[in-house]
Amino acid sequence: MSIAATGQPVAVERLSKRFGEVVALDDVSFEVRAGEFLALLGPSGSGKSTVLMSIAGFVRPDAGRIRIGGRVIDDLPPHRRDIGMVFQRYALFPHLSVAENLAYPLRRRGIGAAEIARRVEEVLALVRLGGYGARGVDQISGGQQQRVAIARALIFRPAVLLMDEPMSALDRKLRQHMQMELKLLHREVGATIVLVTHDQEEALSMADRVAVLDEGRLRQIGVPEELYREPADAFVAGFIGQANFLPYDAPSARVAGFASPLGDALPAGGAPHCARPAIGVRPEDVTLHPPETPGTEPCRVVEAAFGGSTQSVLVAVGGHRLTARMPAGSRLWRAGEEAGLRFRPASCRVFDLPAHQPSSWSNGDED
Amino acid sequence: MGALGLGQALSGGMAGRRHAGGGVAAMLAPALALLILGYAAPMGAIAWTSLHRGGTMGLAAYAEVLGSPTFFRILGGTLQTAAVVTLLCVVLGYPFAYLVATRGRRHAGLLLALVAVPYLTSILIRSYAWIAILGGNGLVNRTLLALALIDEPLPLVFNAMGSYIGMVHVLLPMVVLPIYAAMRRIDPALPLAARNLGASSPAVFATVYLPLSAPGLAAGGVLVFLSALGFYITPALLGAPNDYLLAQAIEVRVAVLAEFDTAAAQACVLLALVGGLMLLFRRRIAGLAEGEDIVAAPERTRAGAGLRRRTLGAMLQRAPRLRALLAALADRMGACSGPALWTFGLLLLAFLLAPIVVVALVAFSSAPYLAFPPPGLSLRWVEAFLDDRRWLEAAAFSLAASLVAAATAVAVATPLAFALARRRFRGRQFLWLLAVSPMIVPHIVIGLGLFFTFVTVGLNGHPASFWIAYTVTGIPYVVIIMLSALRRLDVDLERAAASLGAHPLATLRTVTLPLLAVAIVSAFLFAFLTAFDDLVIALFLSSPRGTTLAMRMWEDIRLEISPKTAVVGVLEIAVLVATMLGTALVQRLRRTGYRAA
Ligand SMILES: Nc1ncnc2c1ncn2[C@@H]1O[C@H](COP(=O)(O)OP(=O)(O)OP(=O)(O)O)[C@@H](O)[C@H]1O
Ligand SMILES: [Mg+2]
Repeated sequence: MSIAATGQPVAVERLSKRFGEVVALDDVSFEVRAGEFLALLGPSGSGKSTVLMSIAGFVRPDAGRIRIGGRVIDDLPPHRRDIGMVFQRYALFPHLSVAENLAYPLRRRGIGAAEIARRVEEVLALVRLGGYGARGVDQISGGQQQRVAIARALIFRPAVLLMDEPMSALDRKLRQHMQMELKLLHREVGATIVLVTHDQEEALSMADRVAVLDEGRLRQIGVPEELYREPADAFVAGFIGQANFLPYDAPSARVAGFASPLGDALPAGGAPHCARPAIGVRPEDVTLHPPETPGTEPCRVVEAAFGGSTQSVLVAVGGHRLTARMPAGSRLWRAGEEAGLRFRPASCRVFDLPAHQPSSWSNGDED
Repeated sequence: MGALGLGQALSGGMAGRRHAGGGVAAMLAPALALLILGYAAPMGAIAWTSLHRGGTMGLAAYAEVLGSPTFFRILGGTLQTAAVVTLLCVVLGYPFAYLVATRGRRHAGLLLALVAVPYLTSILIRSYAWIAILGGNGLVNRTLLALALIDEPLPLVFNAMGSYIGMVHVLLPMVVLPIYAAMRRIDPALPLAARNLGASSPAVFATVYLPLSAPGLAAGGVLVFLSALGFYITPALLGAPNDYLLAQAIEVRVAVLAEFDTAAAQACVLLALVGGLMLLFRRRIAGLAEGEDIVAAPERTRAGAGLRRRTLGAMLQRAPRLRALLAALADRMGACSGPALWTFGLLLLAFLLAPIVVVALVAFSSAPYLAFPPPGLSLRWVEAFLDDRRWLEAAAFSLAASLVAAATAVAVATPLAFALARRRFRGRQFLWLLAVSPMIVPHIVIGLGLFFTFVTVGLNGHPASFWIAYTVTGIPYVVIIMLSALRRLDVDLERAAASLGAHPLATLRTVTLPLLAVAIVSAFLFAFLTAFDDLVIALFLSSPRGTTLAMRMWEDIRLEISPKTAVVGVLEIAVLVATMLGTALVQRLRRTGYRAA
């Protein structure tokens, strides 16, 4: 495949940026390996776009350095960085046809007309838009526009491809389809990809590794399983997947208000020292049993929701509420029932809750 | 600063901030130089002249002006005329804007085009047409006489009535357009929500539509009032011969009495009045002149909230009795609203278009003088125009001066608009005000100031004086149109170009300018028309060295009233309509072109 490029590693080193009072980035460092697919994940305003714009050269960081292939690019203007970029609203030139949009970066590089025509056809075929070259960019569908935007960013074989929420304008079905396509495309072209998203599902399913940002700080970077299994802090645990947080009483090794100790639910090694210790546990690690089962904490079912293959059950226990998720095949629980609750062995982790968070909360029931 | 720096300065989203300071200065300098030379200096010259009599400095001129009952009578008359005209425009313009805004896009476009044609036609030519319509021998009186409804012609023109009709005709579009724009911005879901919440359709109008379109209404009203204060041509041609408005009084002092210091003092009073109102209502004007963020940015504080509280919309929200009255009124009107609104709309369109039709007929009249309806049709006046060297020379002079000035205005004010839209620098708000205010400051004041300035440097009547003057009058339109276009231009498109390898200058050439092309062309057209139609400034600058077509028409209308002026009018309207149709066609072709290509 002639579109294939050799991916280059990207190193972001100690990046900081303020906009007036707002700290958009606070000492952010990470590395993307050559040919890797990295997702930058974080809530709105966490600084994801600012990282991407800094790499592309549209934002000049206050401090820090960016290297591509080992070379510092801080002083290169955007047009000489050779980085492909897919914009959130695609930024297709409305006064140019699809083919002219695709030819644009090649023209800027002084490539001959015959070669341009050949490569435009080739890349149109790659994104399955053969025959659409003469169309105006407002005469194709949203999904097709997105493919044109990706094709335009790839046609000049950049070593690095940046994408800022490229899927956010698509409906759910098309989005899932394009996620698949993009993964395949990544394998085909071999470029290093940095994708910005606030959709954790998208990040986990597409990327080789995920970097989680919050309030301008990098919280954790790792492969999806690692973020899910071993979140570095309460924010990551709550942001990736779902989690229940319950105040933890270290001396008695119990959840505050619980009658029984946590026992084997906490992994060996105990709890690190924390100002506001809380245990975090995923809904699927909470199991419900008939009342009075030995080794369970008595609780009451507040609400139960049937979800096809699973059931989500909101229970009240020891003055807290938490969510449990179990296979629907077992026993279906109903609101008002009494039950006994247990955590799977080694499924709980102790976190230090930030000051602004309530000592007990669950994001398991807000799908 | 190199070419790269300029490119980067123009395309704001870039990281290259090191050149930013120099970039902004380079973008502002040409426009600023022309504005100082052709606008700030003339205003200074007026102030200086008003403070000097017989070589000594003093307030003698002001003492004379402010001690004269005649002056206060003229001032009062001017304020009264402006108020009446504003009221008429608002009352007529609001329902019309409502009619246009509640039609589909296509109908609305057509209706607006029909408003735009007379709006863009020379005021001189329109006033001329009104004489043909309203005169003792004109269309209206002839019709009424023929129907035996009257025994002798009604005095419809050369009095206050004529003045009002002419001024309303000129200013009506100025209130329709902002009201229409405000109405279009109303979320179409809001009236539906009000309906769903139990409001009858008149109540929807009174509780949703009216308060939300009130800012446009206020903006249009302010603009009309400010413009009416400095009106010259219409009252001079259609008003009572001895009942001067302020602008006429100033002109007479200069041209007839040669009393420069009192003329300057009167101009200063007018300027203070307009300037004060402009500052007071600068938010309203900002909404019209694309300066909302520029004016609002530094002071989004309590002072701003206080100003906002005074808006018409807020007043309506707070005055239950007024609201109830309006709702009752709307209720009454609601029953017959559809057909009545259309009838009203068509009548208003007839009013707006009548002068255009009349001009066309008169141009091809066979009568040796202005008569309507023409006794027969012929090309004699077209030939007379084409045979008259003085008219052709004046036409060529006007064309050349206007084209060069419009091109200059676009060339210097486009970078200025870029800087205003994309850069933050000190004095930004002041600069915006300086650049757009020549649109609001009466041209009689600008003309007088230019006269004082150019006379002292011996440039009066020189083509260069017209060039500078018309560049200054064109700059506001260029700034406003370009600011609006830049606001709609997605910065990501320029970033995309850069990420695809385009040098900043290549981005400018291949993305920014093509996307701004329509705006640049319309900015050029507005600047050109403002220059080409100008009479008031030419009154001060014309000399044997240079006379404009408007001056020729003016003399002709005042002395003999031949249909030659109508010929010019027809030519101008023909070019205008052709341009509008051409633009519409190009846009349609663009939209459908790719498939064919
Ligand atoms: N040009 C700017 N001027 C001022 N503030 C800015 C600018 N760009 C970003 N910010 C601020 O910096 C912070 C980070 O913004 P950024 O756009 O990087 O967030 P994001 O993670 O991309 O959010 P989103 O998911 O909403 O796109 C936000 O608080 C934002 O308001
Ligand atoms: Mg963003």
